[in-house]
Amino acid sequence: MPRVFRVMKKDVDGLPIVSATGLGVRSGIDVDLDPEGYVLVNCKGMSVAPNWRDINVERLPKRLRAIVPGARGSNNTSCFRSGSGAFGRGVFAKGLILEPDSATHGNVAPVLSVPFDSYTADLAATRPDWEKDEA
Amino acid sequence: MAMLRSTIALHRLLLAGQDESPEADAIRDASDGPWESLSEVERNRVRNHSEDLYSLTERPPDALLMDSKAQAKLNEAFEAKQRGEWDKALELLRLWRAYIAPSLVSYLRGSIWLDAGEPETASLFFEHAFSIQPENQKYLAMFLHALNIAAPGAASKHAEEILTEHLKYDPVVISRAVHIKLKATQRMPESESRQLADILKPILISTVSRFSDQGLSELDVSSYVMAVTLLGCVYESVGDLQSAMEMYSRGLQLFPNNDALLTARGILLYGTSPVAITDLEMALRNGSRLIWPLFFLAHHRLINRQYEDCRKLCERAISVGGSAAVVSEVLEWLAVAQAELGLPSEMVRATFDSAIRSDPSNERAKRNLSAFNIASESFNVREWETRSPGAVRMSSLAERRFAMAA
Repeated sequence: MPRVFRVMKKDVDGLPIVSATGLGVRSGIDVDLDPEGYVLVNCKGMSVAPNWRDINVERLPKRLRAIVPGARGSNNTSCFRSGSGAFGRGVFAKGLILEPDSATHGNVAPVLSVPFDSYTADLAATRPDWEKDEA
Repeated sequence: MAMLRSTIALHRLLLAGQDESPEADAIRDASDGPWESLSEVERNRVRNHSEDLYSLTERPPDALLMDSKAQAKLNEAFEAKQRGEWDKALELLRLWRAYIAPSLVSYLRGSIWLDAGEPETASLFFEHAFSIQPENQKYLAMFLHALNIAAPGAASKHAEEILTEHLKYDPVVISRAVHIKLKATQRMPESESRQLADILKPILISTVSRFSDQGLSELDVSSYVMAVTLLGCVYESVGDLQSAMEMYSRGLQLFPNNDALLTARGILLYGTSPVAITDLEMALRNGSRLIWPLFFLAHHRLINRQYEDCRKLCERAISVGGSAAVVSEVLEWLAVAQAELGLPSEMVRATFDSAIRSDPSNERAKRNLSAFNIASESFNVREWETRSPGAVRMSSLAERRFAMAA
């Protein structure tokens, strides 16, 4: 599975918190829904990067300023990593696919058009695969 | 750039102790899209901009003694700034800042961002420079200048506070504050503008006098010229043309080649003395970047039937730009000059059309276009409607007044 990074809030067990801006998506912003509430398969999805250094500097926790100048994100968040393969289009997890849209960004999208709750459940199911990595 | 605005907004929330707030999260959420659209060079610019903003709230690095290498790097930064290589200039300052006084680092950063067209960022650095070296009031003047570009309302408020205690501040600051207040009168009714001019007149008289007490070597030329020009404009606006003339001439005695003063006096004398034309031509030769010398000289050439010169001046004026009304009139004169030079009718009509599109209330341009059409059909001599020098001088007074002193 491709190696991806995402900045998310950490839960008490050290894994990412499942939420719309954590391990999850915002409907209408990160993904589009059809009138029946199904997620459109249009390459949109949960935003990820091949390296945490590529992530929006305003999201990177401030404590990482020594590595990435100007980091201005909340220190209540952490950089999480999942997977170890190359950053290319391919299966990410059950029901999910990585859709890179540039060399420094991609989206974890649904493979098929599924109800929004089903898609977010698939994302939440990847929770154990994420590990804090700010090295 | 949207990302720079966003970083500044987060910086302000950090200052307010609110950078972990839902408002900060919303700013971060909204910045993902703009971030993704940036090139790597632009991303580095955003990273460095954000990092430099941290210097406004953090202790500077321990000072190091300036040596020849650091001096050479500082010079390199100046040269990069001069060439418009903003990223390089900022990078050099970042690397060598321990050798430079923190207030100067912030001042230079402000200057670079101002030149780069980011007055909001510039204002933050100028404000910081002044906060750590309050005895250098040029920093305060630069802060007001940058703030007036970025946020005129906020600048006006600052200017008002300064003017209530104007004797506490250096003339460079007062000139800038008065300029900000007077520039805002362009959007005011004439009566209010005049009232404010009356209030500011004694402050300007005192400021010019304080400048005059300084030796020529210590005089800040641009601030002095600004004060003299503003006072001249104030005299003009209250109808005291003789005092205005004396003020401009007084400035020109010290700085005979100053284009702002030459322009101001040239306009004041336009239509009444040949000195006006000499002044305006000299202002142009001395590098004036204002539309006004071009505008008045174009009119002068037009009414003196020097159409080729008029055409060239109009084209230059249009490239400089101005309000819709001013550009419309220049386009109208250009159309007349084109017609008189025998250029194709389609070109003349297109230029008149541009004039009318630029300012649909320009009825004279419509009448001149009709006159051109009728004359073209009947092979008659064209009769153009043009305004007198006095009328041209009086028009758009509010637009040019006080703006020239910038």
